Amino acid sequence: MLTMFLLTSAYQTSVFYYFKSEEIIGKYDVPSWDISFENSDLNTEETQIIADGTTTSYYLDIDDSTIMEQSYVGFLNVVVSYDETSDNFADPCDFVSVNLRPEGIVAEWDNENNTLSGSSDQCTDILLFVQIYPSFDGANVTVESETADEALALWSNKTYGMGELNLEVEVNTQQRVEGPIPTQQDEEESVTVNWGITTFVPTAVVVEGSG
Amino acid sequence: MSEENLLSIAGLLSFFLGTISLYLVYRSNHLRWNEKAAGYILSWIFLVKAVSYPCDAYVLQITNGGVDFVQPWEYFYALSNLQNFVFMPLCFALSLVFPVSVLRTKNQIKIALLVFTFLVSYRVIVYVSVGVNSLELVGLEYILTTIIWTSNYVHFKIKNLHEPNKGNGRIANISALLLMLHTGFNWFVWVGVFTRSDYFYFEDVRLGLDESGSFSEYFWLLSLTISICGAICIVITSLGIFYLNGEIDGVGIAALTYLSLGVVTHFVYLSGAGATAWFFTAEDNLTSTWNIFTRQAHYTIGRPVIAMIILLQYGIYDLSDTRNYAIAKTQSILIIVIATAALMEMVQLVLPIDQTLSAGFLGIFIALGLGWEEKTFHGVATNPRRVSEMLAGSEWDAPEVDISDRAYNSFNISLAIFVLLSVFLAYVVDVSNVLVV
Repeated sequence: MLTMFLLTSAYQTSVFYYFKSEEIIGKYDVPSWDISFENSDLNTEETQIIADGTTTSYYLDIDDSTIMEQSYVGFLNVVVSYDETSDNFADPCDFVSVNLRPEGIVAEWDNENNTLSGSSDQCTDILLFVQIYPSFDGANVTVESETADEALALWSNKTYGMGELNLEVEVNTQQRVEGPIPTQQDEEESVTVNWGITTFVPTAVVVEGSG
Repeated sequence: MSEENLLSIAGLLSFFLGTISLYLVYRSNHLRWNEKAAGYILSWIFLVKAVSYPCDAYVLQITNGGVDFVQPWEYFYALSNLQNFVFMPLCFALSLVFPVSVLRTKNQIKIALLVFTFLVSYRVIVYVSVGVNSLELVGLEYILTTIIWTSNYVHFKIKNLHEPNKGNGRIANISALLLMLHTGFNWFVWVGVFTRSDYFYFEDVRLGLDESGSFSEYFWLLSLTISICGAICIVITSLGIFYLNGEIDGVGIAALTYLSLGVVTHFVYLSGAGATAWFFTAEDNLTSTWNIFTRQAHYTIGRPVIAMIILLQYGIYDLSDTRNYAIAKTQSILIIVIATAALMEMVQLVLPIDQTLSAGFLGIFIALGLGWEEKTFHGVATNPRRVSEMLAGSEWDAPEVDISDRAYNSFNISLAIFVLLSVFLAYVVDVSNVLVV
């Protein structure tokens, strides 16, 4: 009996102070996880002819069929482009203003980097940006958590970006004010909206030596 | 049903067991000095636990299982720890006098009392002064009681082989029961010692307040290891005797069951989420439920029930007195009803049934429990086998030592004063903020 007590105690001591020593000392240490993101871009384009002085909506539907399995919506880039298409000589570019309504999807609408409206009278592209998944910028991040699932939990919210976006586009045509050549009236403009959705797939890898 | 509920029920069980036992032992004048001492010690073991269990329940509740340390956790945690500083030496003292009196002379008893007083005061002073630390040697008593009671078990079991029907087997069984009462909740994790499992080696001494890898953690795990060795020795001895004469008794079967459940526990913990299958704060549903049915059930309900069996079956109560008989019967009914209700709640945890049906089942279980009690109580009470009778004439019979009733009363009053004082000492710990997390 005594021999058994001594042998088992010696074994327990060796496990505590040698075989498992580091694990025991670090039992409350939380491992660090390197979260990397595999990004991919989805682009859709829509062109509409918009009459002078009117506002037209462009809609974008994002649902599970749009986004791949295990993918999440990171941010949205919108490019609104147009050209002067009246073919009138020296006809100036029309005035186009756009406004992305902050509703319809769950996104970080109050992010300071968001650009939700813009305008142009130079036929230049109007660029809009919406941060949809909070804090996502495509760069790797390090988080501390017990398990990989817990580490990924922050980056696995499917509700962000799902729904319907409404982009309002208003056109106001401009004519040449004076000149020797008579021109036709410019009454409409063709405006193209390119929706660029950046999605990501997060992956967690434990940082060696942590936890 | 959660660990907090179980601890609260355990508080209730311990209170009834402790108070009624104290009264009955006081009224039992037929006892030898060591039996009387054992009766009082067992009573106080449960009286201090009656304070400790509800405090633990409250701390677990407000700290969300030891995660968010919200005040007033410190006060109640300190109050619980202070009770345990008496509980552990009391268990050690019990092993010195019962069933076999290790203390043979009045001087040895005095020395034992001094050691007891020293252990309690030393730990209390260190704890109140500097908080949780390695100097307390938490778990020391597990080692001492395991060595004493396991030796008793093995010795008397082997002796029973050569001299059967002389009560040696019963002395062995009572030793095993006492060891089971004190350390049985550890027996479920015995596999972890040998498989180097996290659930054993990562176990916290006290809500993770001790530094990881510290000496206090080592010593605590050493004490658990020794207590597990005791269980293994008991089972090996039982199986050896079964091999020799084909007999195995209830206590041997119980110990074997604990160790068998330990194997299941190992796989349950391995299947749990991560390695955090802690005693009272298991995170995973399966490990948590399994813990409630095994370790926590023993720790909270098993202990009082085992103590009641010992008190009744080994003649510590003088049941020839009709008043004592009636009170003892009331006590056993209370314990059985509360324990049955707790078991029913535990069953509800895995078999969710509606309240009406649950009340019906509770009634049936209690009726069955009381029926069993009615049937066995009279038999046990009218035919108790006192330890002093079984050991009479043998070399292990307790020597005659004259201890006056006044000495027992002083012992009881001192412990009562300590419990009252601990209410103030816990306040000191709380305001001095020594249990910094």
